[in-house]
Amino acid sequence: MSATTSCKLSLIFRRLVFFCSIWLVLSKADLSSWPFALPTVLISTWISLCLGGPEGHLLKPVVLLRYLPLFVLQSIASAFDVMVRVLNPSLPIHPGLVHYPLSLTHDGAKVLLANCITMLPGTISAQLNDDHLIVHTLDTSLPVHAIINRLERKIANIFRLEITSGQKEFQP
Amino acid sequence: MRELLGAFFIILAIPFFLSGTIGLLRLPDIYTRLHALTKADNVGLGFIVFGLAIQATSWLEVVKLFLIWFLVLMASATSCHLIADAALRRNIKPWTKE
Repeated sequence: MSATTSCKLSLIFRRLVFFCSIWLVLSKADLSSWPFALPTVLISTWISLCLGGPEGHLLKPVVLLRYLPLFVLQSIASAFDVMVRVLNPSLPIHPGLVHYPLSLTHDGAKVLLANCITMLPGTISAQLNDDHLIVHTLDTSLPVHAIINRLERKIANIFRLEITSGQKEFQP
Repeated sequence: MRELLGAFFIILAIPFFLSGTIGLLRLPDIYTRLHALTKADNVGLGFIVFGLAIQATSWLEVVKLFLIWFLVLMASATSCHLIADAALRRNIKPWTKE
């Protein structure tokens, strides 16, 4: 058996295990539901393989777990930030768009970055292009570039990617 | 004790949902409203899930609750991005002071 075939088989197997465990959770481990569960799990696996996804670059689950508390804390901080601004009678916002040149090239990593930016205080990702990201911020005085750069490094670490240290110049 | 602790976290969710809704009403344009809805509501739901998980009777229920939270989190981040993306493509200018 060639290396690519065994790699593909292990990918299929991992997806099968993943969808089986989701079913177990949803059905509260009620095994009598298997006539419905079996086709559902098989179809889900097939669809997820058709849609493609992050292959080749494996996530580092341990690194992901290490950053998880940080993401949760930042998410709570961003909700507080919105609450304070919205409940203040003078509505202290200075919104604007920020263009950020991406160093990440891997698609899965870029999508994770865009989603995480939405959880950070004061920023949402508005448009993801090939080499740059348009971010909307509630406060243009925030150091948006520095904040995203720090996040980008963490995500590169999760995906075992190397990113260039210097920022590329970008003209919109 | 667990009942009370769970109830505490569920009640803690109310100010977050409330500020999300107030933000939707007070903020000036589509982009700033997305901020209020995604961030405040995600954390509000997070506290409800956490409170219910404390009251849960089996660990499968706990996993199911956090799975729901994770899926809502992904769905809201993705739809927030899609709405902002669509608004930019239609050349809707973000509101600015002055």
